[in-house]
Amino acid sequence: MVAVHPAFFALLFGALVSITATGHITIALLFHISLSWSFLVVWQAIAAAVIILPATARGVSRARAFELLFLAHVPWSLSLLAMATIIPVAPIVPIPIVVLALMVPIAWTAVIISAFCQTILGATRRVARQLTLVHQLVIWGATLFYLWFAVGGWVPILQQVGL
Amino acid sequence: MRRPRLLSAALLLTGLVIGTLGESMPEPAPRRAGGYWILAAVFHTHAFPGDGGLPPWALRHEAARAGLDVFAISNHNRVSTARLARWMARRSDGPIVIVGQEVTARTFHLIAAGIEERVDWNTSPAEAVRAIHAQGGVAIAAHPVGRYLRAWDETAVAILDGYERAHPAMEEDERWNADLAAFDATVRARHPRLAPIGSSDFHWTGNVGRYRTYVLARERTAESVLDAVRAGRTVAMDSTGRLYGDPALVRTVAAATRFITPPADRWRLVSIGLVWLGLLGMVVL
Repeated sequence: MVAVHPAFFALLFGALVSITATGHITIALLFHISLSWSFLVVWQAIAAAVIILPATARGVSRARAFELLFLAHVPWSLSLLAMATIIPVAPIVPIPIVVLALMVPIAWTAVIISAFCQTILGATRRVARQLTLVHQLVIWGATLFYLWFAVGGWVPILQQVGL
Repeated sequence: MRRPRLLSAALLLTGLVIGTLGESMPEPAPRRAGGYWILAAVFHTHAFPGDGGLPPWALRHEAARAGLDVFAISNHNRVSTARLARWMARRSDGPIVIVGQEVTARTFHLIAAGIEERVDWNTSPAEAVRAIHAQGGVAIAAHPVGRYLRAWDETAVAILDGYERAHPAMEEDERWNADLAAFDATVRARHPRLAPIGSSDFHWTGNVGRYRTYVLARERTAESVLDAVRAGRTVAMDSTGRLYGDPALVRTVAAATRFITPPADRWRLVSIGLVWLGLLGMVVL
């Protein structure tokens, strides 16, 4: 059961990329795109491991803790579903609006992770905040690294933010 | 809770099956005119891993679905994905894959098509063009609009092989549309052999063949396509089907056509709607 939520997130990402990038969806497209982007799930698992494995006051098994933490995909999954609806109608959205829209899943995820750290890992509020920060740093560090790779260095990224 | 989730999964599966069964692929229709093959090409696309959503094999499938005969993968400052795509395509039918790079510098972007090794981006446009030529590739000024326009001085333009005349930037900003038209008028007045190019600049959205180039090639090979670009035997097409280029070539291409939009997949929206609802149900229920 521990693999169900990660697998679902990979499937959801693959389906939404297929819809936005090609305007249609087939079983083959879904399979190929989900498989290609499944490294996102590995990143999430690594970020989860960073906070789950050292926790000594856990109230559940490691596997169950991983499973529960993967439930935190809901804010991003809903955001991706919204994007897949908006992009075909309005493919060009100004960057400030995109950034503002991203704040919702970012903040919501942080709240969920923090609650997870307190209730499942038995962390105090202060430690939970620190663990949430570490978790998000791992996720966003990896995201920035991929972005750097994908656009061929920092030049295009800096250009996009007007530098 | 179990039943709603099962229903959601059933919706998802039904949508997938409908999408799969309804997928349409245009029949390859080789077109010839005046001793040339008229090939539909896109020289500017992005793929995964890189700044594109689709892995190379899925992008090739989509290129075929869009009726393209040739496409180049031109990721930002990298050629590894394009080389992988060409390697994977070597023994199967489908569009010809050309290895490319979008040379991404601060003041200009430049498509290098037909190269093998990465071209250094940290240089002047003219030097980048020479580096592309040294590898046997063709150099195409990418979206010469706004801040990417000013770097194209006479030295660089004089040695270019082509420039993007039709690009999604046309739809994004009226000033960019005007920039493309002005660049076209200026460079063609001085260098009429320069190839006008239509590029979808496909990343994550749209249709890989919505903007394209019709290439008049002697043979249906990558080399012949690149030769046609060097000789300026191209016609650019925008998303409305408008053609740009030498009037005689435009007439030839227009007369030979039955081109452009691939047939719409049957039940496409139904399939997408069911998949979307299924996913939503599985997330929230």
